[in-house]
Amino acid sequence: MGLYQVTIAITIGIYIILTMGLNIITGYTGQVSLGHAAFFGVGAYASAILSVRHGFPFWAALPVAIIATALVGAVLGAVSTRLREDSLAITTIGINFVVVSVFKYSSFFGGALGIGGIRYPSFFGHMLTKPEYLPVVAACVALGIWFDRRLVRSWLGLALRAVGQDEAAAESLGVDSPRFKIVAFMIGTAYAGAAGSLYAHFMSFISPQDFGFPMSISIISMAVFGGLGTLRGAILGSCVLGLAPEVFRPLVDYRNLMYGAMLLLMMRFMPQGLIGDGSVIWERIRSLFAARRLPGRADERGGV
Amino acid sequence: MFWQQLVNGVTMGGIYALVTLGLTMVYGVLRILHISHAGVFALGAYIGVVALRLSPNLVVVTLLAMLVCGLVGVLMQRWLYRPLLGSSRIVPLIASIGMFTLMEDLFRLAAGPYVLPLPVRVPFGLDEVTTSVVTGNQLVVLSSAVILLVLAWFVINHTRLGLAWKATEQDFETAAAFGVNVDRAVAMNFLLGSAIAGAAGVLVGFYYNSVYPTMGSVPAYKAMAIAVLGGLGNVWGTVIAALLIGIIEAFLVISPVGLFLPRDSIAFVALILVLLLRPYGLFGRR
Amino acid sequence: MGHDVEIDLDRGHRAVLLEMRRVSKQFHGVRALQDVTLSVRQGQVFGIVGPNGAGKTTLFNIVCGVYPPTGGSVFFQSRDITRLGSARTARMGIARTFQIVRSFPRMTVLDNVLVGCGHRVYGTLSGLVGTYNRQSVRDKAMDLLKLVGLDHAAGTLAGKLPIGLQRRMEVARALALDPRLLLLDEPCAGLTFGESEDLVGLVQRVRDGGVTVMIVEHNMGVVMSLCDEIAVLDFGVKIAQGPPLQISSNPRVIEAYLGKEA
Repeated sequence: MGLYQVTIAITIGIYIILTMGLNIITGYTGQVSLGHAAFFGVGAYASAILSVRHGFPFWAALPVAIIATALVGAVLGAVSTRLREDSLAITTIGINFVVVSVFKYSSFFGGALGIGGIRYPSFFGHMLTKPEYLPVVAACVALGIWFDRRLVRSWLGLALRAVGQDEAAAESLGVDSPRFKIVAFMIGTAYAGAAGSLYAHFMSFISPQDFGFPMSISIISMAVFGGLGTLRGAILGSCVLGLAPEVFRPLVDYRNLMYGAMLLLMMRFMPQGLIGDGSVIWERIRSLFAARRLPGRADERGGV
Repeated sequence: MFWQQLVNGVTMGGIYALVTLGLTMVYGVLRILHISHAGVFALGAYIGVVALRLSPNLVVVTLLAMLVCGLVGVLMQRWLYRPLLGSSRIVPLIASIGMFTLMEDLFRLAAGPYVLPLPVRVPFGLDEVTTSVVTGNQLVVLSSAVILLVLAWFVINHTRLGLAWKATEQDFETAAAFGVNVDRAVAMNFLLGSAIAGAAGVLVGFYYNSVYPTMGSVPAYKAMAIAVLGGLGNVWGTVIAALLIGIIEAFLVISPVGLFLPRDSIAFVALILVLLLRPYGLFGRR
Repeated sequence: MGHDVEIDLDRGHRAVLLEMRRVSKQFHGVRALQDVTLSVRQGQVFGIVGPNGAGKTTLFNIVCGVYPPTGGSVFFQSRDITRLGSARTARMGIARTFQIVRSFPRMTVLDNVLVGCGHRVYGTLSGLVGTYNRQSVRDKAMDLLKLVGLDHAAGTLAGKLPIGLQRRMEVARALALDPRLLLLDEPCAGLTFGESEDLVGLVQRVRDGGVTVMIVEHNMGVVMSLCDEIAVLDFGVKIAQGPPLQISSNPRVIEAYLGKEA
């Protein structure tokens, strides 16, 4: 693997973590967030400030960044319980703009120049190189996948999906939707915090525009492109849309055009996403494995 | 100074109102966040640039832009949104974002990444009138905005079409049961909203004498904020919210607050503050 | 059924389970309910009837805590539940179905019922992380599906089920709460005659299992054959209450409701 491939792999890993988090908020719990990049930024800045100014090692900055981001996410979650669907979507755009403004106009966050000099993590006194950083990112992705699977099988995950599919019905069965929405936002933004921390230590330099609204659009596009509400969709969507700019690199002048057209055509002709529940491709894959299904829970989330 | 800023604010507010009007109208009948509406807005400006070759007259240029944009709006509704009505609400939203990205890039590829001028000729020499408070260009924008808003008000409140929209807003099936041709009503809704957005594109292009591919980017999201502020789907709330945001921006950017609050975040800060107190917007129903 | 529901078998004088005292509700100045007082005894099937717009669904929503009344209070097992909110009311043992079916469309029928099985967990923190897909829980959910005759469809996505079957699923899901009181909002709307008969049988079985039932229904045949007691609402006011025979001969009721229907 050359350095170029390593860079792409790390970038896609970070995308996967971001998209998995958003999938918990928007896919499972049904709360459309168009400001996920703001939390990516909170995690990145928290980690950067802790390690550059306060000498935290990566291994300590990462968990603190995750917790800090989840707390900010809880605030957004609390706001979201007061808003209905589309107002929430727009408000999250607003939160994204406001957070970026704070980064940009406050000297504490380094202003428009951002923060530099963030180092790769050290491991027993040895500072990791870029190829050695890849396993760290991969481990975080694996941890994220494991956590998501645990979540989906837990009462919490069941309640989140219930809130996402019919809030009134969920309430009538004892699920207090405000509380569960806040939890969903906390978990989803914690993922973004982890991604932010990984990103900061990978790039060594971060600036406000890395976390702007276009980034939020990229993340939600990945989730929807792969198949919203499924982990496999989040992962595949991140890989496909993460690779797309590289694949289209020879057509650099038409990159945005291709990206827009891909989104547009996908939504128009395969609104369930590439391998979302009910998409043609996923139905085909499932029928291949139909024989192995257990009766009683046949149609449930077959596999990942 | 005060009056100048007020006029600056009202002018911007009028433009915001024109852009947001179509957005909130579409939301009213279809419950779709029509991001690519801002693409239609930019398209209007580009049609204006092309139309200059036919006639430099502002009225002719605007009418042409309105015609083309209205038709493009209807095409979008027919080809893009109508088949997606049954899917979850995020699907048309993402499709719309894709469409907007595509449009922006098409403008860039077709007309180049440059800023193009839009030197239209204004009838009656209205743009020559200059006082200490209002510039001629502002007069042009303001009077056009008033004309278009009155037109919209008339259609919404005094025609059968407006009545059909109100019925559709409540419920498609009931509207159909009462003999409303829902499909046609929705198409006309896109036609009018998009035409007005196209006119707004021409007016902005004229006001700043510049037309460029990404001129829709900021309006795309700011208009959303204004629409929510006005109470999504509430046309008159939207107009008032647009004027308020225009005026607040005009005064905040020259105040000390403007140093750390960039102009384009003001609408969102206002939105967040208002929603904390009134979750359905300033004039929201329900 | 019979899970941990004890009936006070002291015939003739059963304990009051639900009590509404002078409950009123206004929506933007429009009166939907006016000073409604009624009590439901344990083990009853209690019918609420009245013309369209009489306030029947509003009454249900207030009992379930969907919104608080503008005046008066609601007591359940002698506890004031007026402002408890929907979820906590449900966890106290008041279950409901909806007039227009509300399923979790992209979940399986079994998972729909399992959501109801979690009522003891949702209020806690530690319970939430446990897996819901344990055999004991699934057995309970499957039993409920058997009770409503849907065990064969356990693995189907709820949204793909015909409305009649979704209704039955809603009943199973509501029963998963181990409720003491079950509210059925027009359970027979849109059902065929045969399906309605099945539903009557189901309600009787539920009642025999010890669950008190409140039912809003337009089908008078169903109401008369099923209910022990009936309250009649007209324009938000309770105009009569009593056993079915008494109600059907009450001149005010005939004037307000039955007269128009016939």
